Formats: sequence, structure tokens, C-alpha cells
Amino acid sequence: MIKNGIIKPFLTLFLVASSLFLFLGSYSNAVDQPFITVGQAKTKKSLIGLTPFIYFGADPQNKKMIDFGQELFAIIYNDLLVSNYFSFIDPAAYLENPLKKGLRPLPTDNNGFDFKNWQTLGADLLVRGGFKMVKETLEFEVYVYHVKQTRQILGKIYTGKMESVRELAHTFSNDLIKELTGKSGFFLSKIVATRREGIKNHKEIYVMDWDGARIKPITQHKSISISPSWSPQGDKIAYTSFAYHKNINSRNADLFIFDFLTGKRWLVSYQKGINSGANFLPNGKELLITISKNGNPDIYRVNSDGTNLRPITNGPNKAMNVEPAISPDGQTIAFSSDRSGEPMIYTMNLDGSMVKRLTFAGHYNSSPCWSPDGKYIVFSGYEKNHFDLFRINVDGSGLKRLTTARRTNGKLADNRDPSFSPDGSQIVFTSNRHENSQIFFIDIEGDNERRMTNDNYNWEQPKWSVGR
Amino acid sequence: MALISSGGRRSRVVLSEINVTPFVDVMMVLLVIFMVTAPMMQQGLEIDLPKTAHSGVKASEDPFVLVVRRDKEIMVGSTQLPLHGLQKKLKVIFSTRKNKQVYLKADKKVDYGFVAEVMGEIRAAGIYQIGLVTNPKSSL
Repeated sequence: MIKNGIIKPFLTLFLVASSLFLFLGSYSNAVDQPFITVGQAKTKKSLIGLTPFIYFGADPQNKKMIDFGQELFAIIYNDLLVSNYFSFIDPAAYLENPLKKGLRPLPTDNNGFDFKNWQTLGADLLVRGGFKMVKETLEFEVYVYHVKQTRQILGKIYTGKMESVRELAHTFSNDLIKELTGKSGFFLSKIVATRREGIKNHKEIYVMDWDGARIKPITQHKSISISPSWSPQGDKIAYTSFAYHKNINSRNADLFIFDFLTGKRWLVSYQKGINSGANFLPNGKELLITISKNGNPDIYRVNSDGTNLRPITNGPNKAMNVEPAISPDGQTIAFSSDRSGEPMIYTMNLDGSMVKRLTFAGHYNSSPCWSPDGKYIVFSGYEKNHFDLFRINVDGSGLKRLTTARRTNGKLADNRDPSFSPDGSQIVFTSNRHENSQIFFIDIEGDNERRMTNDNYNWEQPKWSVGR
Repeated sequence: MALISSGGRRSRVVLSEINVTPFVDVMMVLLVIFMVTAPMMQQGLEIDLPKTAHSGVKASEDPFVLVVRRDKEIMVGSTQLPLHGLQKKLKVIFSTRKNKQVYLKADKKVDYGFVAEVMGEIRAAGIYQIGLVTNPKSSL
């Protein structure tokens, strides 16, 4: 038995330790709510078992098909990872070999997986999938299970060509996010951006998948093509290019539209000076643009065929008014203006009335962009010799810095040119933290920063597609 | 510099108290298992009744049960795990698992030495909350 002298500290320790334990016990219960509520800044992550996809072909060892299955898996894994809704069970923790078990659970399938093995791992969700080729068509069969409720929540067969593996994978990711949150994911959306290239420092415009894959050129003008912008339906891109004008024997910053469906390209505005910063109105038929034909840049409204050009701003006092951004409801324009001395963000009605100054901090605020729900405006703010992204409520309250990254040498980096993802959860932007200007994205709270492009080019002005 | 010299001076002071650190260490080891056992007694019984737990009242319970059968087979979920490598497996599982408790359910006929060995593996995997599940009426 323990003697008197020792039992006292022993008891105290015991009391401290046991109360700590009780606290932990109740804490874990409180945290364990049902999963995924959209809109909460810090959503608790669901633990998911994303198991490798089984090849159901005649030759299960077919190298090409196994590689294909891994590619399919990698795309979906990246989608789900970036959604920030999930944490993934380490495959080394699996209690059964998913490749040797069926896609359905045990009582249904004799060789099915056992829910018990996944419950034990604490899994919230389990993804089981397999694929095969039927002639030239790929069939991807996939199920998602709510592990604790031992219930299937999604079961689909996706078919398509092997080349469309990316669409197929992103479609499944979108469906899963939709099933869990009620809102589709953004995995079929695209990014358009300007890329500096060549010895003459040409700038050309490219589109790519949201994850940086499949980069395709929109312009090959061998000139400076900048400020791309999506139409609301994602079928057109408006941009500015320095086009050669014979009559003045010089180049002018003209506004063009490129139509994906027809492959056509046309000139919208070619007033003397700049014709830039295009932003489609929600109707898709009109644009806001900046024109400097009278000396100072001002904001105009124009039809997409170039007709019916009319001014919205004029001054005051020869001030510049640029970078129009229309609110999602089409009623309010956010823009930058130096009417107060330094460039700041302002808002006004679509007809130019009710001008209000939105930002007062910093020395140079530019590139305003609206969140899809119309609650926030994110902009680039210049302060202490560098740009960072800031978020502000539409009423001017709640200013918050989103980016803080520096260069590897500790010097300040420019983080600028923000644009929201279609679901409003992420913001794409450029940063020169690794010397070259590359595309990154970050969530709306300024967490979960990720790099999108990884090359030696300089990327500028990324814009996330609005629809899809 | 000043800090270091004053520290040096202080270290020369004679310690007259007993160094309790090893004591605390030993007691903490004892404690963790001891203190967990008591509250686990009731919870252990609960998890023996999965059908009532399933009715949704406490769906969040999410227990990790490690069963040691009479023939010394270690079962997790419906999978048998070898004692060798158990520590590594548990470490991976608990790297993402939210609830960090292990409920140890050993048959009463399994010798104490083997159970101690299993507990050693669990501890070595970095799990400090081990519940000994006692269920006098049934043996697996």
C-alpha cells in the first residue's frame, strides 16, 4: 500500500487528471456535429476514405488502364482537397484492401466492403469506384457512402471518352460537393489570364481549367493583349489588345470579344486612347469599359457589338475612373478613382448616380471584384511598397487583409488582381513571391493558400469564369 | 551575457528537496490507465449494444474498439491485425481519427502478460486514453 506521505500528491494529481479527461470527453462530443454546412468560415472537415478505383477490364494488370485509373483518382483527390471540406484517411490505415473488395457493402455484395472497418477508422464518408471500357466508351461507376449511417448517398455511372477524363472527374467532384452541401463545386470552371512571353515581351491571353491544367491560347496577336474578362455564360471573353492602325501608323488599345462557340472575334471599341477593363453586365449583352478618348479615362456602357456607347462617369476635375466591376445583381458598379487624390475604391449605381467612397485605408486601392453573393468586395491594396489582397463588406465595414506572403528572401511580395471562384469560396490572384508572377488562390478568410501555375512565365490578371 | 552568469551562480545553490520528476512520471503512467477505466466501464457496456446506439441518439460516439480474443487474435473492425506492427497501424489510423480513445476489449481468459503487451503497443502508438471494457456476462 502507498504510505501517507505519497498518497496526497497522488490524489491531487488524480483529481487534476480526471477532470482533464472529462473535459476532453465532452469536448469531442460537442465537436462531432453532422457534416458540412456551407458558408461557415471554418467548416469542420469530414474524414473521407477516398479509395483507389478498380479497373474492371478483362486484363486487370493493363498498365495503360491502371495509369488511367490513377489519373482519374488524382484529379478527384485534388478537387476534394482544395474544397477544404475533407481530411483524408491515410491508405496505410485501411483495415481492408479496397482493390480486393466490391464497390457495394457486405450484405448486398458477398465480397463487399465492411462498413465496420470504416467506422472503426472514424470515417464519415467512403468513396468506392471502378471503371471499364465498353468499346470506345469509358464507364466510371462510383458510390459514396455515409459511413456512420451505413447509407449510400450517391451512386452514379459516368460515361465518356477516355480523353474527357478531366470533365468526367470534375463532374463527379461537383456532384459530390452538391450532394453534401447543396451547392455545386467549381471544378468545371475555368480561369482566363494574361501571360508575358517571348523576347519582345508580348502578352497573350490563355484559358485553363481551374486547376491549371489544359492551358489553351485565346490570342496569338503577337502584341500586348491584356485585361481578359468572362461573359456570364462563360461563352465569350472580352479583352484589350494593342492593335495596329494604318491611318495613324500606330498601335491603339482596342477592345475585342472572342466567342468560343463560333470561334469568331470582333472589335467592340476602338476610340483613340485606351479601350480597356471590360466587364460584362449580367445580361451578357452589354459591357462596362474604360475609355480615354477625352484625355481622362472614364467608365462607359456599350453593347457587345460596339453600338450604343454612352458614358457613366465624367470627372470630377479630370479624375480618372477605371476598372468597373458590376455587382452580381447588376445594380451597382464598384470602380477605382483618384478623385480624392490617391486611387481608392468607390461604388455607384449603374447610371452613375450615388457615388460612394468605399475604402479609406492604404495609398492605392485597385482591381475591385465582387463576391458572387454580393456581400464582399475584394481588391488589391498598396501599402508599404507592396500590394496585398483585402476584403471589405459592401457597406465599407469589416476591412480584412487576406494575403501576407513574402518572397523567399524575406522581401515583400505583390499579391494582386483578385477574382472570385463561382461558388464564392476562393479567390484567384497573382503573386511574385517566387520571383515570377504566378497564379495562386486562397479562401475568403485568407487561409488555405495554394499555387495554381507552376512554370517560368509571368501570369497576370487571372479571372475565374462566372458560370458553370 | 548577464543572464548566463546569473544562471551559473544560481546553479550552485544546494538542492535539499527530493527530485519528484521520476515519481510524477511513474504515477502518470499508472494514472492514465486507472482514471480511464472507471468512466469507461459504463461506456464499454454501451458499445456492446450497437443496435441501441444506432438509433441515432448518440451517433457521435464513434468508438475505436480493439478486441483481443481468447486465442490471442487481435481484431479491429472485422479485420485481424498481428501484434507485430500494431503500433504502426494505430499511429496511422489515429493520425486522422477525431476521437483519440481506444477501448480495449480482452477476453478474460487471455493472460495478463499478453494484454499488457497489447496495451504497450497502444501506448507506444501515442494513445494515452485506453478504456478497459468490462462485460462480465459475455466473452467473445
